[in-house]
Amino acid sequence: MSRLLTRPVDFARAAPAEEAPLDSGARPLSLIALALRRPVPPLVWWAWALSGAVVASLTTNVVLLTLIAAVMVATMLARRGTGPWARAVKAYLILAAVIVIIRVGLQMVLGSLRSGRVLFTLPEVHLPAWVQGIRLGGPVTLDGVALAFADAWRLAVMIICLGAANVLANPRGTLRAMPAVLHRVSTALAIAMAVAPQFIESAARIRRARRLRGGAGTGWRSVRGVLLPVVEDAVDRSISLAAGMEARGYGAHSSAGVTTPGTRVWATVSASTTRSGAQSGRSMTPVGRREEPITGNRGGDRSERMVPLVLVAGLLATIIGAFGLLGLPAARSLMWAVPLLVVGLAACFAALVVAGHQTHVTRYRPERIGPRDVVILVSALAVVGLAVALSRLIGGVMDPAVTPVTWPPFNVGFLVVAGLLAVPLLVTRAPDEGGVR
Amino acid sequence: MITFDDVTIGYEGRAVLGPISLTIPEGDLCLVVGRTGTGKSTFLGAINGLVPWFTGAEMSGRVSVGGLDTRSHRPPDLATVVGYVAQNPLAGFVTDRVEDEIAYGMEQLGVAPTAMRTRVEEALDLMGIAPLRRRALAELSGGQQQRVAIAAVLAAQPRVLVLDEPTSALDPTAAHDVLASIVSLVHEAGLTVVIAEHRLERVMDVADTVVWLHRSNTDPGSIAEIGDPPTILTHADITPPLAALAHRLGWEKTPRSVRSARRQVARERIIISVDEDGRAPSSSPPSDSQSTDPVARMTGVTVAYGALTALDHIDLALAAGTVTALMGRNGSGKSSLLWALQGALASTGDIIVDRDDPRSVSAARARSLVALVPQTPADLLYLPTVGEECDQADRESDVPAGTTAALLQQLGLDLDPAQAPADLSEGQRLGLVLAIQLSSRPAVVALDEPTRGLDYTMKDHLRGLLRGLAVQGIAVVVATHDVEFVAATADRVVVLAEGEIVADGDTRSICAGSVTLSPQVAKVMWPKRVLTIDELVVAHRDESTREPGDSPAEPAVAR
Amino acid sequence: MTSSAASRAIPLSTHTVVMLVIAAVAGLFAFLWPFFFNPDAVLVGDRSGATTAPLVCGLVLFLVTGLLLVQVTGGDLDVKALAMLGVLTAAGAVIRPLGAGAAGLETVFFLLILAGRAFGPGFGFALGSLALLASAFITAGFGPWLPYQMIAAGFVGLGAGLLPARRPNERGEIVLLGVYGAAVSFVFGFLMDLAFWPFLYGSGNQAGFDPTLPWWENLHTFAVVTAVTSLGWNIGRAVTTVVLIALLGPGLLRIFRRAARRARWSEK
Repeated sequence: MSRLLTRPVDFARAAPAEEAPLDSGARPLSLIALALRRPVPPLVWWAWALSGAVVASLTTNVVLLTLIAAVMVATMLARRGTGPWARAVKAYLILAAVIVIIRVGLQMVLGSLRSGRVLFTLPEVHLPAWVQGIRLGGPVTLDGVALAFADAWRLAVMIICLGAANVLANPRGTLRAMPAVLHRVSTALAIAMAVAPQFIESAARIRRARRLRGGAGTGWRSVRGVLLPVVEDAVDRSISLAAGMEARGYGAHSSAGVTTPGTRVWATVSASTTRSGAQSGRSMTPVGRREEPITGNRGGDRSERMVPLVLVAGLLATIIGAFGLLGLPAARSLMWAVPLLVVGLAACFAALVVAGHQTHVTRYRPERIGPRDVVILVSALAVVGLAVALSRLIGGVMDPAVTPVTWPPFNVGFLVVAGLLAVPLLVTRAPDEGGVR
Repeated sequence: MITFDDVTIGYEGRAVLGPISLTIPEGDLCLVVGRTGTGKSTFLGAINGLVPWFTGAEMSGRVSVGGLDTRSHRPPDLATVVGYVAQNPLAGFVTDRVEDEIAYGMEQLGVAPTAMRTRVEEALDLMGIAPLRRRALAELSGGQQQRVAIAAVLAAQPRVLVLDEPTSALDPTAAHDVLASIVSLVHEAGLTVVIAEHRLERVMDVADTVVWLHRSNTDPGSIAEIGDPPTILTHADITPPLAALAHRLGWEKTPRSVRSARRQVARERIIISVDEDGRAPSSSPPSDSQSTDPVARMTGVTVAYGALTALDHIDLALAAGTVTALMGRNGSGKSSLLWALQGALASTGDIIVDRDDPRSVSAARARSLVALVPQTPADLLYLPTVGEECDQADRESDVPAGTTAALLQQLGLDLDPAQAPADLSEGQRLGLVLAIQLSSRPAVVALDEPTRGLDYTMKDHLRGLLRGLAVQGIAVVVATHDVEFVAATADRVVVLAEGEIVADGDTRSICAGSVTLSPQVAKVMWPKRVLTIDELVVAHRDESTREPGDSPAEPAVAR
Repeated sequence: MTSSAASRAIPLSTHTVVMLVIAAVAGLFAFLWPFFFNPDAVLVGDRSGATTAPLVCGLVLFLVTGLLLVQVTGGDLDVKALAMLGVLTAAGAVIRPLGAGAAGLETVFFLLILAGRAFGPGFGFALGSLALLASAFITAGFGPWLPYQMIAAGFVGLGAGLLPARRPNERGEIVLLGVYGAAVSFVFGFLMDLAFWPFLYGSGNQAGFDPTLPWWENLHTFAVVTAVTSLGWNIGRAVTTVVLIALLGPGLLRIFRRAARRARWSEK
C-alpha cells in the first residue's frame, strides 16, 4: 500500500496492481496468512449458509439441529464485520425464538395432538361451528409439545442460517457480484445505497430548518413540510446524477468489446447503442440542419432478438415445472415436471448469459474465488451430500419417531456435519477495519 | 480543439445561445464568463453533447470537439474525449466510495479490468487523493469531493476537461487547492480545460482565453466574444475586482493578477494620502452608524456535538444598525454560531436578543427575534407557488396579508406569484426566503453564506439590501467566505477558528492587514490600508488634483 | 399539464407485458400455494411440506422477479429514469423501517402508488420491487419472504400506473389513489399472511394448515386466523397509506410530474 502511495506519477511502468497486498499491515505476512485474511466473497458465504439450511430442512433431530445452530451462531459472532448489516444477529435470533414460541404456544392452545403423557391441562373452550368448531385448551401433552418444538426448531435453525448469510455477506460485495445482465438493477441499487444516507441527512437538515419559519404545524402537517423538500431535492439530484452518468459513459457500449490500455478505441456505435440514441433523438426537436444519428437496424443482432422470446419460454417452463413439483403426485411430476423445470432453467440461464454479453460493461476489481473459497464451497457441498446420505441410510435417526416421544438419537455423522460446517471458522480470519471493502 | 460553428441553442422556442462561432485552441485554459442567465451551463453542456442530447434543447449549427461532431456522437460516446464535471459533485456521484466512483465511468466504457486498475491509480495520483481511496464519498470535504469528481472523469483519459463552477461551494482554501490541481492539469498533462467560474479573481491570472457570453441587441440569444483575459475583462459586464480597479483608474487593460496590478501601480506612482489610522480622509467612517447598545448578546455560549466542540465560550454582542461579517474556514463554527443565536441549536451560556432568550420562547417568537436564512435557502420552501409561500409567511408572522409580497417588491424582485419556487434562480430564491424571513420584522437578520452562486451584479444588489436593512436599525450578521463582499458590506468582522473568536474589529483593521482576508484592492494598494475601490478612486483623485503632473503614462519609478 | 395522468418513464414492450402477465399468474399461484398443494408431491419431505413449499415458491418468485427486472430495466431504459429509480428506491428504503416498529404502519406503499401513478406502470413495478430489495440490503433482510414482498410491491406500483388515466380534478385523483391504496393494503396483507401461514403456524394444530383437507376447509381456517390475528395490521396499513396519500399526494404528484416534464417522459 505504502508503495502505491509513494509511487511516481508515471504509472505506466508500475508493477501490476494485483501484486499489491490488500492489507496495510507493515509486518510481512506469509502467503497463507494473506490468503486467509482476504474477505470471503459474499456468494461463498451464501452458499455455505444455505448448505446449513438445506441440512436443517432434512432433519427433525433436535441434536443435529442444535449443533447446526451452534456452528452458525459461533461463526456469525466470530467473523462478522463492522457494517450495519453485521448488527442483525440479534434480530435473527429473536425471529427464530418467536417462531418457536408461536408454534409451541399454538400447539398448547389449539393443538390437535393430545396423546401421550399429560404435562398439564388448560381449561377447555369449544368455539361455534362457524369458526371451524375449534377447541381451545385441553390437556397439554409431552408428545404434542415435543413434536411442535422439533418442527419449529427446524424452521428456526433455517432462519438462523439465513441470518448467518445476511450478517456475514457484505451487501456491497453482493451488489458487485451481480451478473452483467443485472447491470442496470445493480446500478439503481448502487445509487440507492449511496443516496440513502444523504436522504437521512437532508431530512434532518430540513426538519431543523422548519423552526426558522416558526415551526409551522406539528405532527402530520410537519411531515409534509419536511418530506416534500426532501423529495424535491432528491428528484433534482436524480437529474444531475443522470447528466453525470451520461457524460461519463453510461450506455456507451463499444462493439469492439474492451479497450486495451494505451489505445483509445472509438466506439463504433453498436446496434444496442443506436437504439437508445435513436430514442434520445426522437425526443429532440432540432431546428435547422442536424445530421441524423447513425441509425443501425434495430435489433439487427439475431441473438439479441431471440433473448426475450427464450426468456419468456424459459420462464413459463420453469414456473410450470416448479408448481408441478408442488401440485402433482410424485409419480406424475417426476415424469414431466422435472424435465420441464430443467429445460426452463437452462433456457433462462442461456438467455441471461447472451443478454449479459450484450452489456459491454466491465467490473473494477472483480471478486475472485480463491483456493480458500473453494475449500469452503467444497465443504458446503460435502455437508449436503453427507446429510442426504445420512437420511437415506439412517432415516430413523435423522427423522426420529415422535409418538411416543423419546430422547433424540445421536450419530457420529452429526459431528462430521458440524465439523464440515465449521470449516469457515478455520480458514477465515476476523475482518479487520482497514481491509474491509 | 473545440469549435462552435454558427451554433444556436434554445429551449421551447426561447433562444438561449447564439449564433456563436468560435474556436478554443488545444491546451488552453479557457474561462467562460457571463452574468447569471446568459447560458454558461448551456455553452459548457454543448461541448460534450449533453446539450442537446440530454436536455432536449433545439440546436442548430455544429459543435465539434477533437474532430468529433456532437450531432452524431452522444455524450457517452464523447466520454473519452471530454470530461464533464458538474457544479455539485456530491449530487453526481453514482457510488459511495472514492475508488468505485473513479472506476464507474470506465466500467461503463468497458475498459478491461487490468487497464482499469492502472488508470484508477493514475487518476488518484493526478489529483493527489490516493490516501482517500477507500473513504466514503459523503464524509469527504467539499474540496476533496470536487477532486474526486475530477479524477472520476480523468480516468476515461479525456483530452478536454469541462468544469461548471467547480469552486462555487468551496471555501477559499479548498477552492485554491482545486484550482491549483486544474492548472497543473493544463500545464503538466497538457489538457484543454474549459471552466465557468463566478469568482474570476481566483482564476484570471492563469487563464489563456476568456469566452464572454452576453446579451446583444440584435441577436435573440447570448453571443460570445473570445480573447485574452485583459482585453475581454476590461469591457465585459463582468467586473472582477481588478477589472473594476482598471476601470476606475482608466487603465486600458485589466491586470491579470495582484502582482501585475501592483507593478502597474508602482509604475504609475499612484500615491495615496491616508490618515494616521489608515483611513482615507474622505471615506465615511462606518462606525458612525454604530450604536453602542447591543440588540443581541451572547455570553459564554458553547455548542458541542458529541465529542466535538463547535463553539467554545463565545462572547459576542451585535449592535443595531450594523452589518457584522463572520469569517473563518469551514468547520470553524460560523454556522453553529448563527443557529445557536437563533435558538434552533442547543447551546449552553446566555443568549439575549431584545430582552428574550430565543431558546426558551416559541419558535414563532424566536423567528421575530432572529431571522435566519440558511445555507440552502430552498430548505424553507415547500409550497407549490411563490404566492402561496408569501401567504403562508404572512400567516406565520401574523402580519396583514400581502406584507411578504410587498417585501419581495421592496427587495427588487418582481416574481410571478404563480411561479414554482423550484424554478427560480439561485438569487431569486435567496430573495424570496429573505422576504419570508423579514416578514416577521426581526431584530436580527442572520444569513449563512448568502453569496454562493451570485454573480458580481447580484452581489452588489445584496450588499445594497443588507446596508438598507442596517439603516432600518436591524442588526445584520453574515457568515461568509467572500472577502470582497465583506470588504464592501460589513462594518465589523469577527473571525472564528476552532469554535473561538480569534479576531474582532472593524472591517478595515481586520481585512486590510491580513493576507487571506483582504480583498484584492487592499492587496494591490498595500501597505496603504485601502478597502474598496470607491475609497481608492476618491483617494486617487485627491492625489491627481494635488499633483496634476503625476501622469499615469510616466515610466516606472522606484518608490 | 398534459392530459394523460401517467407519463411512461419506462416504456413497456410487448415482451415485457407478456412476461408481466406470466409473472402475475405465477405470483398468484405462489401466494395461494396452500390451495394448490398436493400432499403426495415430490418435494414433500415430511408430513406437511409446510417448510419446503414456501421456499420453492420463493425461489421461483425470486427468479421471476429477477427476470422481470432484467426485462423491465433492459432495452430502452433512459438514464434519467434509471437515476430517478435509484433515488426513489433510496427514499423507499429509508422510509420503510420507519413503520416497521409500530403496528401496521406501512410507510412505503404511498410512495410506490404515487410514483407508479406519475411515472407509469413499468416504473412503478421496478420501483416497488427494488425498494424492498434495497431495504433488504440495508437491514440485512434477505430471506424467503423477500421475493414475495418484492413481487407484491412491484404489482402495487404497477397497478397504480394502470389506474384510469382521466382525472377530473386533483381531489378526484387523490380519492382514486386513496381507494386503490386501501384496497391493495388489504390484499397485500391477506396474500402475505396466506403464503406464510402454514410456515408460521405449522400444521399440527387447529389454526394451522392441513394439506389433507380440501381447500375450502383450509380457506375457512385461514379466514378465521387472519381475522383474529391480522385484521388490525391490515387496517393500520390501509389507514397509513390513505392518510399519507391524502397528505402528500398532491405535493408529490406535482413534484414527480414536474420531473417527468423536465425529463420529457410525457412525450413518449
